[in-house]
Amino acid sequence: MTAQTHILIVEDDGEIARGTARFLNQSGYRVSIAPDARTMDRLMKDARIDLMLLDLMLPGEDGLSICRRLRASNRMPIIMLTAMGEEMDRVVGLELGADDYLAKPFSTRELLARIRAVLRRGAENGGSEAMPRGHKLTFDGWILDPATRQLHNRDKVKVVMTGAEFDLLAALCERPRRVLTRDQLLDLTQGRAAGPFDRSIDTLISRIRQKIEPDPKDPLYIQTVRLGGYMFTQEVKPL
Amino acid sequence: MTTMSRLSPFNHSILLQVGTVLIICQILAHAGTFFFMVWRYERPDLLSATSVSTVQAIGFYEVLKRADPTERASLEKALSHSEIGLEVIKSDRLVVAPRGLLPGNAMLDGLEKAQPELLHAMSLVRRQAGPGGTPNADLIALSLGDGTALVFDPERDSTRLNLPRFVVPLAFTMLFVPLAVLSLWGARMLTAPLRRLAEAADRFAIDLDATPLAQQGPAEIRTLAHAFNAMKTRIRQLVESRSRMLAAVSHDLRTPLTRLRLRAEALADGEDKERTLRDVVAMDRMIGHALSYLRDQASPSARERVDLATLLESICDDFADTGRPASYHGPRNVVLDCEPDLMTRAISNLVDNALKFGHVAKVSLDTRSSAEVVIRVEDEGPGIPDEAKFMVFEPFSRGDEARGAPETEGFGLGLAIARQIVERHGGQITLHDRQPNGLCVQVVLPVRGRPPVRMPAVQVPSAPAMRTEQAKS
Ligand SMILES: Nc1ncnc2c1ncn2[C@@H]1O[C@H](COP(=O)(O)OP(=O)(O)OP(=O)(O)O)[C@@H](O)[C@H]1O
Ligand SMILES: [Mg+2]
Repeated sequence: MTAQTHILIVEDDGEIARGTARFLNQSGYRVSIAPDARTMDRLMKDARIDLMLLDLMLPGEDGLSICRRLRASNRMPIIMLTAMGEEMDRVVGLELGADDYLAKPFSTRELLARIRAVLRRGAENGGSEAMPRGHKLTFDGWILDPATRQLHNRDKVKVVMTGAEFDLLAALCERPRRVLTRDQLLDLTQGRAAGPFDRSIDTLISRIRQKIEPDPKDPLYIQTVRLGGYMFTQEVKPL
Repeated sequence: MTTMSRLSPFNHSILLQVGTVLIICQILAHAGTFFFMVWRYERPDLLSATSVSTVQAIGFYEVLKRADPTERASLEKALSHSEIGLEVIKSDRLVVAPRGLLPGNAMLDGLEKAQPELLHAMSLVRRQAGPGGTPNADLIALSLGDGTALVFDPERDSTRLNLPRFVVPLAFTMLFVPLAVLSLWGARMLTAPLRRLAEAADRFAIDLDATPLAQQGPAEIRTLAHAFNAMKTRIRQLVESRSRMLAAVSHDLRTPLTRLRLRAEALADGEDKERTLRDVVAMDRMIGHALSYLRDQASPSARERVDLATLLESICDDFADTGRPASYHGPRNVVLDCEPDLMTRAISNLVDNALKFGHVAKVSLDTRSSAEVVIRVEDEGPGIPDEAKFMVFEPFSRGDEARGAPETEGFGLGLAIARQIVERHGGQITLHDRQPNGLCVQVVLPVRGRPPVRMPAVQVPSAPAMRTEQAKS
């Protein structure tokens, strides 16, 4: 299945594009390269693209504009690449509909993890059930914004989470009132940070409970299901 | 000198200054005319020659002298019932008053000058003490030559201003209040263009895109507005070129760094690969540090209410998750008005230092005071000697030893960035020794209310904007 996955790299720096392409090829993906928007359009007409790596700064039409244009017509997953490391761009990019964002210089391991996570999410979205992505979600007065990765409590106070905690909470919120096993949760969240010191799902859950549960000792939002895993008990609505 | 002038209330505003000057001028002018008029009316010698009472007295004197006894009797009777202050009195009921007393004396002088032919008949007298009459009042007597005299009282002269005592303050109040109001209003009009200029400068301090100041009003103000607009344009250009430079440096350094990283990752596993990758990470971190130091001080403020406990906890967990022993101990649910991304950066730098130089990082939060929160980041390292405590906050200052850290790591910007961010929040950052060893970095932040320190609002142009700029040039 992965052999057929076609990734388009839109990047004007030849060496970066080729280096990334070589690596992704080795990882089993089919890869095309477009140095600018015009080539990109041509390639997209000729072949089906499953995922796009989009550099922010391009000659001619820039990445943000391309992202906006593509989003108007289709839901192909897009991962933004940028050398700016600028918070503003990240937020803008995600709000314009990019599925993820990676700052240069990225590690190939991280890149691969993000690609897998985004593809998996896309596949799952095709099968409905989960909440629409990119929308703000709300439960019991709390607001969770996957695009900007922010969480606000009922008093509109920002509650800060680590990347892994946020991913896990988002995964739970996007599938409310469903029992999710530890393996499922691990699978859903490993895109972002898959390091040697990764915490177990149980540790992350207990940290999240400390931050959001009215009484962490008697959890209300995230309940442990005996032998199964965890379940998000609240009603979640898109905002 | 400076303290003196700062103490003076008149230094507070031009409005006050101009208003005061206007009011003082008006008071002086009006007091001048007022006192001149009072003084003039209080000088009977100047008036006596032409005053109504003098003319009346002389007229009656001539008539009485010529009248036959019956006419005189009825005239005297009429006089005594009139209000004009003339009276015929037997001379033996009068005593001569000592001369030299005002106002009768002055009046007499005036009369003598104006009517020298009456000189022989005129004298300054007083009524003999007795029932009725005011014993001490000076009167002027014109002897009728038959043992009687026509007497009149200069105090009763209807043309003199016998002003009651309260008239002066009353007149002053009536002048002063409207004048003060008018003067302040006038001064306000005069200073309005200056105030507009000050407001524009203030707006510009927050928003570089504020509309230019209208060049109107008096010549000086127009010149000032012109100079201000020109300065504004120059500052804008400077800031923009700096932002463009920052973005360009960031982009131009990170692009080759990305190539380097890809190349290194293509290498076979080994020491070369590992070291190259470590350097790439360190360089990227340094670029990030340099950029955030230059950018944070100019970025627009984005404050919101943040649960500080979760912020500190997340920082520690992020470090702990990469195998570095950082931990948070403190209360939960501590709400602080702050810029979360910047605050995270500041505290992360402190935790990074504690781990790098002091093996562990213990972060704690003290909320005993309701006005401020105290964040402490403590370690168990060698600490910083007192003489160096001041210096380490300077950008690019690093301990000579750089104690055991790999030589590629660090610009010496960590503490400078932390201080910049803490001060931007109106807080303070200080270094303390721990017993028996180790450093305690203490950050005191006001809980809320204090306005953010104003910095020019600069946004690093987003990538596309920069690309178009480059394309243009
Ligand atoms: N916790 C600490 N214990 C001992 N020394 C410290 C500690 N924190 C900082 N210092 C000293 O202060 C110097 C300046 O610290 P700063 O964080 O500004 O720079 P750096 O850590 O060397 O570099 P950078 O943070 O930019 O990577 C350090 O080089 C070190 O000598
Ligand atoms: Mg440091």
